[in-house]
Amino acid sequence: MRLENESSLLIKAKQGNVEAFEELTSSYYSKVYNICYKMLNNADDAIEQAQETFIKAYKYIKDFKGNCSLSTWLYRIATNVCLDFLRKNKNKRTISLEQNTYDDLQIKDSLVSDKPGPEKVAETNAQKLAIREAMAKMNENNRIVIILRDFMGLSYEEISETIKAPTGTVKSRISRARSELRDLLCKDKEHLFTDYVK
Amino acid sequence: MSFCNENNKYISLYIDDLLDEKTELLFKEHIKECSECSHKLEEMSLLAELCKEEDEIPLPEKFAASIHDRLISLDTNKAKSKRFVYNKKLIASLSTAAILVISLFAYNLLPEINVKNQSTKAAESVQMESDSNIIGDRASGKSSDTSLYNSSESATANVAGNFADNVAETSDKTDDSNTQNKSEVHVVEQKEDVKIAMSFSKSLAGEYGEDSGAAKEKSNVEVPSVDGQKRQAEPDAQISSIDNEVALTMTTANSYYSNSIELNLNITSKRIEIDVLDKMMEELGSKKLENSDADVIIDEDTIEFIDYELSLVQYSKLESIAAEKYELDLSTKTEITKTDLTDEYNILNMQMIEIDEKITQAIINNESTSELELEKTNILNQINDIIMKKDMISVKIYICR
Repeated sequence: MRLENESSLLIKAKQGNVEAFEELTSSYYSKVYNICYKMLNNADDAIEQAQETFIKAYKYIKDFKGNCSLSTWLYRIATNVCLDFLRKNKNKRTISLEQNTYDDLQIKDSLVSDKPGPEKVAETNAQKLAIREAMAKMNENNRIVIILRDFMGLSYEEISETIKAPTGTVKSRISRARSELRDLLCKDKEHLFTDYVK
Repeated sequence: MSFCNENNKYISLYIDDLLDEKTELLFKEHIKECSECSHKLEEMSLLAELCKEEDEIPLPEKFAASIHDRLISLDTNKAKSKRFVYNKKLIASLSTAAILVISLFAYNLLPEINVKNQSTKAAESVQMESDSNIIGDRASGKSSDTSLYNSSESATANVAGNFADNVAETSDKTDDSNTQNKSEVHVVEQKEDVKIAMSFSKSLAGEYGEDSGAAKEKSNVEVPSVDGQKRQAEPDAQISSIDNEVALTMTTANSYYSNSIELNLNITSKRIEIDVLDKMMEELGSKKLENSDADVIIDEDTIEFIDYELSLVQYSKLESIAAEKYELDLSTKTEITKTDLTDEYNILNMQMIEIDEKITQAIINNESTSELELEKTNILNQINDIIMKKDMISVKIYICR
């Protein structure tokens, strides 16, 4: 029933029906926004490029052949939109990092449950912030595969379809990306990421 | 199997549970014995885990509403545009006729030129083509406010001619998969060309001078809006009959070119102008290129030319700054030349695909990919260079004694 509904929504969206398009794609708004945010590290740019993704999707949906899932198709557009944005704004890019204030929530949780104590929470938050700082320095093509694999949890096949590269290339790119991230973090921030004593 | 040499690869596949059973067992044994690989695994696993645990960033409140408004607006505009004349040939012919009429009109009017800096690339390219002729006349010492520039007429004609050529060229193109797309893109471009030509001819018509501020502002206002339209229009132009993949790989620029121009610098016997030129180019932020011509002796007495590279924005300031601030006698030797690099870009793209395949094959065959990766980086750098060239111009300045 759901598939039939999706299929009829798709037909209507291809005919230019805005409501049908929104119903079909709105469940991906958050994921696409997150891809853009993690790529661009800036809420304003992320909002603009995520919206641009859906505007492009609306214009091109009549050509969507269904060779891949709708989500993969949307992620592909988002990826290209972000890479284009970064390429165009290479010289003027200012990376401003925004720290989510999830510290309070986590500490509160830890008081009422058996979740980690405040010190552990603080350490984890520092680690996560360090990761975001490092990602901003990463090569953009490496950054996107880390986002798709480690943040979004896409499979290698899904990533392969998203970035239009063979699975073998995806494997090597993910390993290079993880290595780059590790080099950026573990060389300078050993106290955060390693607990062995040299 | 040498795990240490390719530990990144094995660690990554191990984290994702993609090693076959036998390799996994061997790898686990190796980890017990090798502290380096073991530490790396620990670190990379931790990072992957932290990334996985990261909470999704909440969607901004008005995101959905904003998209809805934009989609509705798009839908409304689409409906409106369908009502307009759709015959692309008719539009192309009308645009060409309009440009030619405006050019003839401008030719017969007082061509008072004092083209100032424009803020957009479209305006700059038009301006440069006219400026290349204007510089010659400035060098002869005419007043900027009242003089007639004979070359401006040919500049205008050149501009109109170039636009007409573009129209003719695009009308002839019959790519089945992109016909409508390209025609629509060029229809939009022609409309923009008309606007640029109109703003240019208005400044020629003598609305400059006392109204120079207004005219300049007007032209500046028009052009940004043209550019804004262009950015909006390009996606619009890419509607329908486009293959999924083509549509998604086509971004805002699918042709590449480099710009170059040659100028003459008249110098006195004391040659101080060469130092002044260097100072001026430094102020503009340009880059002096190494002289690769082995036949040219690098000596101030015999130096024949100097090459610089600057952005189009920097170049647009060159004429005024040379004459007004540095009193340099610069004139045009050859007009702006655009060299099409699209083929070169496409070849490099093909090479990228081939090298990606080679890398994949090397991984499958358990071979080292470092040399291939280096080659790939090199190709990527070349591609980036070509992309950047569109916003730059090479200026060769000949020293005339």
